Amino acid sequence: MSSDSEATEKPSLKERLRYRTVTVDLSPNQDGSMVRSIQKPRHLGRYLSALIAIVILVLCFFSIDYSTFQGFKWDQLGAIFHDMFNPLPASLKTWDAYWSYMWGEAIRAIWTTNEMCFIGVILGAVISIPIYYLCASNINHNRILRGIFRVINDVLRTIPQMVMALILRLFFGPTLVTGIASIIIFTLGIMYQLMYQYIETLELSPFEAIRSNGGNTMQCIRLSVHPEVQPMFFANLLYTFEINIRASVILGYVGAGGYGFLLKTNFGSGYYDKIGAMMIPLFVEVIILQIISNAMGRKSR
Amino acid sequence: MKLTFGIGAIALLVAAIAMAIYEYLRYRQAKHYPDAESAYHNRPLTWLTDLFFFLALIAAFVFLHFDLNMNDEFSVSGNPKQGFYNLGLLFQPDWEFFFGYGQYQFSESVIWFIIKTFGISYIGTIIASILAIPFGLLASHKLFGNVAWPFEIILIAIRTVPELIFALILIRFTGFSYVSGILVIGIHSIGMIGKLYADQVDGIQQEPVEGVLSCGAGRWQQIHLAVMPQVLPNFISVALYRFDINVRTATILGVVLGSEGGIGYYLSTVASHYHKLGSCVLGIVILVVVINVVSSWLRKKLV
Repeated sequence: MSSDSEATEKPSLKERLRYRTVTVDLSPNQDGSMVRSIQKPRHLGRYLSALIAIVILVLCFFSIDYSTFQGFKWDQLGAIFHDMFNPLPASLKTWDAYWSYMWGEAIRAIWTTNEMCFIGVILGAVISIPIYYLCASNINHNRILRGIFRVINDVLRTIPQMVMALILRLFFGPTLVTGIASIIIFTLGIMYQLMYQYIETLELSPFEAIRSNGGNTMQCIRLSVHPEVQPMFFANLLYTFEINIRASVILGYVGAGGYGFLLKTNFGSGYYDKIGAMMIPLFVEVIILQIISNAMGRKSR
Repeated sequence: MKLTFGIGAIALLVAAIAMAIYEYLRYRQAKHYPDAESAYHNRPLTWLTDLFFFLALIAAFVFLHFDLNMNDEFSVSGNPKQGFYNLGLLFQPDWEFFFGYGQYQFSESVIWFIIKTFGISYIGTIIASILAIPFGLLASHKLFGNVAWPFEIILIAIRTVPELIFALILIRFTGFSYVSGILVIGIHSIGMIGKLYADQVDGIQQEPVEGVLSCGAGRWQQIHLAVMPQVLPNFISVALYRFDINVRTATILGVVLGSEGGIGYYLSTVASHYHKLGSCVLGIVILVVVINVVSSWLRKKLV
């Protein structure tokens, strides 16, 4: 705000870039008795960032090879869903074969994936238990130790799961062990980040009560923090399990077996009805897991 | 043998759950003990529940060990010495392949594929974050009440399908091209972005909405004047968060989308040339780390 008398001195360039001066009439009857000049912000930063975003968007279009795109095949859009949920003459000829494929091979592949995810998630979650207590800033006051584990967490979460599986394949070959090991590492990364962020939001008065009664840190954690985070631990466990089931499609592509491997072979042969028959049980399972983990009180993100 | 452990695991799990329910029901009733000593002696038997649970877990692991033939899997898997040697090769990236000089052209270098990957995820995220605004507003129970249910179910359904299956389906529609990648990311991200948008809309302050309502505004004017100004910075923050995830997703899209799907194409084709694989991994890690740092820095500035 600057009144008329101060308007004579010239504002600096930075000031003029940040604000523009507007003359307004503040009187209730709009009769010109209270004319003031007001400085309104220009929001140049917002316009600049929007401009940068648009420039990046335009630059992205230069990296497209337009020759590979042969238009939208609108007639295929309905045909995909028809092929997926009807037996095709080329692969599964009858509805009986469709249902028996769904209850036989598809369910078996999903069961294998579930077993892999179960082993991986349980082992990863058990490993994460001591680490997330070491990461929480209100329990572990040693900044260096905390920093080390947080950096490890960043590294684990940064590497995409397929790259992790490819690196692990160097050691274990194209077997289920690769899949399980990459699920363990993936779970570890998600689990201890979610848990230490949850622990940092807790009130630690029970912790201090036990501390003042002479408990050491392990006893304090065992008696106060552990019972409090236990429900959230199981909710996050289910959530991680569900994420892993969805992500384990990619593990088939590095040869780690399970659901993704069957999907890859079916796609290679163009058996879309088999893909459809594999999708339905997965869809049902993931929705049930999502509903349960949301009902257990897991917050989003 | 295998079946014994499977049945044993289920039986122990049932026992643990039965114990937990019994203790829960017993503890529901108010008990009045004369002193602390007797209260201590009548404490719930949680250790027994825990023991059953633990044994069930061990039995389940033994069952899974036999069910997945882990003995065979471990015997097939390679020796660690060879693994460390290969890991060493991974740390000597093929620089000609990385930068695209010498025997490789720039259009087949890792850098160019990384740019393609970035482009797919950037365009896809912008499309998704704009398309998700109506979904997010309509899925908010605070604004629309029971009308929100069908939209919430649509968002859950979109989230449920894995990205790769989405890509496999969309290939028939748009072919092995850039557009498939953009559509996969653009449509699949709506599920999560829409849900987070709806959460943000549910968490707004109600006073501005009531203020606008008292001046006779309709629902569209409420959203435009009272809701959007409150949630816009959060919306941008959500979009940036999702962009971070989408970059990671886009690195694997090339596995099914071919050479126009980005760096994932090389992950599937050069997986046995460890020098080339090393340069791909280096490129992916650089891309993901840079996007992660920039995105979290911008989010910190916004909120």
